[in-house]
Amino acid sequence: MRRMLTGTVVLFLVCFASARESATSPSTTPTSSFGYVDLFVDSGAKPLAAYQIELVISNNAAQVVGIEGGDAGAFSEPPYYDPAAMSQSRVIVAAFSTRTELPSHKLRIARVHLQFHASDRHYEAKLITAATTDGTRIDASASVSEGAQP
Amino acid sequence: MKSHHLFKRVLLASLTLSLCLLAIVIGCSQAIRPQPQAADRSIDSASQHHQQARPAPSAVAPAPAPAITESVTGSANSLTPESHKESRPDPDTLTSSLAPEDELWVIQKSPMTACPAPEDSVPGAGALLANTSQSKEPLPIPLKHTDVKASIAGYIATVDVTQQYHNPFSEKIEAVYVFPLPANAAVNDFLMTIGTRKIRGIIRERAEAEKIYREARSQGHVASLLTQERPNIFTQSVANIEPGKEIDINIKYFHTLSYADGWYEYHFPMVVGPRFNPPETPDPITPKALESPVGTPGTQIPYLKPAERTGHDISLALHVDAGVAIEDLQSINHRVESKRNSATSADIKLASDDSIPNKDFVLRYKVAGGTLKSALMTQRTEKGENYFTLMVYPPESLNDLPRQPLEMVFTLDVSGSMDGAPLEQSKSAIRYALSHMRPDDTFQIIRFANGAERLSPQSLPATQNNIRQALTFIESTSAGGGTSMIEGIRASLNFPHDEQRLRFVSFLTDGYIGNEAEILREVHTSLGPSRIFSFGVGSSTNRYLLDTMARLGKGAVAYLALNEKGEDVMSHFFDRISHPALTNVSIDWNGLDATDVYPSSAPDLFVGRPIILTGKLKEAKDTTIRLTGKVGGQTKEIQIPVRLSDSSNANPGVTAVWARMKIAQLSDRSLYEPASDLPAQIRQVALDHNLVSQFTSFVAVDSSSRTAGDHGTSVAVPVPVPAGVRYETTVRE
Repeated sequence: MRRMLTGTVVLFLVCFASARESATSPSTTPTSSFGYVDLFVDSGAKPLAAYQIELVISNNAAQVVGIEGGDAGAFSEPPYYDPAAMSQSRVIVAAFSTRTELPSHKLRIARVHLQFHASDRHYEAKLITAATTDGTRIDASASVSEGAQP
Repeated sequence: MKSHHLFKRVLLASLTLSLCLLAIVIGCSQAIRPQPQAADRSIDSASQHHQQARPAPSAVAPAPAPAITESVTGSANSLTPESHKESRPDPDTLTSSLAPEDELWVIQKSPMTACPAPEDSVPGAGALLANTSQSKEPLPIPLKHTDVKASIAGYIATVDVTQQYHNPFSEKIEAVYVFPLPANAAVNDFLMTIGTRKIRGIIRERAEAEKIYREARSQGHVASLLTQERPNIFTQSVANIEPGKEIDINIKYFHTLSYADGWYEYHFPMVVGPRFNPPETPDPITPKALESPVGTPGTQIPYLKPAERTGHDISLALHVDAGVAIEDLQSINHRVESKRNSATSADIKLASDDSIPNKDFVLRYKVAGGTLKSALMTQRTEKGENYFTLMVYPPESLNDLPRQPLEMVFTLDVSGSMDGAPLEQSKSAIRYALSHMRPDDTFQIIRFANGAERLSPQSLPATQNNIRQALTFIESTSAGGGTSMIEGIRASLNFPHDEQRLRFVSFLTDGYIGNEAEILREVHTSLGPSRIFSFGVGSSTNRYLLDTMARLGKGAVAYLALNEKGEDVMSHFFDRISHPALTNVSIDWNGLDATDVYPSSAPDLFVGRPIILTGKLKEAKDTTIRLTGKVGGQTKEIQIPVRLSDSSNANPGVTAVWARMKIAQLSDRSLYEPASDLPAQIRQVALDHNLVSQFTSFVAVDSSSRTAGDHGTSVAVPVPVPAGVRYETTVRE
């Protein structure tokens, strides 16, 4: 009798859990998640007026789904990307600023929104060029960091 | 004993069953209670007027937020947390009177029959179900305002369109808006603005972009998707707009202006006219009443009834830098405020009291000089490629040559959408044409709606008697029925041709059909020696259809607004055809090394009608281009001096215009070469040049935050029927 009652309670809990789960699950099961990476340029003491950066994501672990500007100021507007160079996991972004007050040292210049396809993700930010207002190239560096997923 | 055991088993089984049922019921009730979680939903707009408004949680929207009533797809009954009565109490008030462990179930019968929504994974699933009241209050819709800023340099326009979406409801929504753009618009930039943050959209293959959007939507991310349904019809979807929040979508495009008889024309369409779709039309554009069911395949456009209105309005500002003196400016359909900055430049603004988006904005400006020099514009890309556009004007000497005898065919659309002013204007235009024919011309009149009918089995000589007979035929014509344009095309192109004369076929129509591909394929197949001159009649004509018919038909197109006289437009047409065209045009680039030139075969040159060529140049140098063609059996040559040193290499949009013209040519060919790799070619051009096309779309996702729940209810943005079009004869209830 006790065994039967225990079985009944277990069955009840299983039914309850299953009914509850089917009710709260999203209607579309997510096949992948979304997140972003921030791109940085460090131009040292030189004022940064223009840049071009290539972002490469290894193993097609993610694809680009949007491009946002960086920190407030000269590069807050979303940069342009080269559509012909765009692939599943590679993008070249570029921007220039005509402002008189330009940033120097390390600056977040863009946020790249991504759809992740794999958890093992590696990014590489290659600085193609960075320049001052008069077009002089700057010896700068680029870096990338993945943001926390919401 | 056995019976005792049996009783215990039955008792336990009953207990188990009861507990299981209870568990399922509790679980299900939790699925129903939080509104945003249900998979299939629809919005009952009628309830928006009846329910006591619930303040939006974010308190951004100052106005009371209409609540959304959910209904269970496929059933007339729905379970909602709210009362079914017309005067509904605030659900928050109701729930506040309950103990935490209590549950409130209200069984509601939907005021409308809920209908199966399209597959939930399809963007735009769901429906704005009903507003059956005749309230004078504007309907709450998610599109608040459209702002257009355009700038014209030479004959290329750069246009920024900002659509301001908001959520006036109390729950999260997805906004879906079907809207028009010019058919030759090269849409190459897309921005989504959330507060102060701007996210640039990415061009992707359409299926891939739709998949990204669906997945972002289902995971609660704010996302947007721009797809092309026709070259002049687009769908904008914006997912997960929270109550009270605003999201702006900015679209940028370039296009060339049309030019005829000394006037440039800038055109911005504001509403998609209701389309007639013959049976078996693939991917139809379906007009429907606001409260009619969803579930039809293709693109559906909900139309407002005549007494209904929304708060959506439009502002438009246009800067013209003509490069030569502007002699006159005319806004055809709207009141405008204009300011002349200089002899060659002007600013035009839509008057604030004429801001309902129910007709095309058309601005024409006349430039100085009887004959313009052919104009070259170039753009050098960062990769060192030189693109050009060249507007070639016909030579003045064509004006001195008389025309040959003509066989003129007037094909009149008498379907329901032409009822009223459009039909009367068309009749007036044909009357003018009949009275200006020469005795050695012949003519035919064809009218079509559900079927087609000819005046006579073959063309008639333009005698007084035959013209009288034709006028009687025209006067007896009234509008009604569907638009089986295919019948009109066949009747116009497939009857015995008068071999002694050049056949000109004039279609007078609003072009409100959804089977454009079938029509254009038939034009290509049946054209023969005919030339097609389309006349678009109405306030929001289907210019993609009419422009392409004229292009494939080796003719031209003219547009007749509701406030213009049919005889005036026909008079211009007669001026044009009163002189021979330069046919069989070939181009000698004279060492300029032009490649990838579109259109690849130059069209005929008619008096007053220039053509635009676009291509790539390997080397930019000054030269003289030579055009040769046939006029009345004789070869004629036009010399066009091209001074690349005078042309700035920084004309924005030239590259995009080139790519759009290439796509247009590939698309034309794909109509009659279905088993080719043309779709792949179109896709590649569009991806390389960041252009929206039938195979590529813009998608933007804000991955940095998620809204609560999976995704909101889809709300289609209803639009007014175009000015001059009768709702009763065009919209399916």
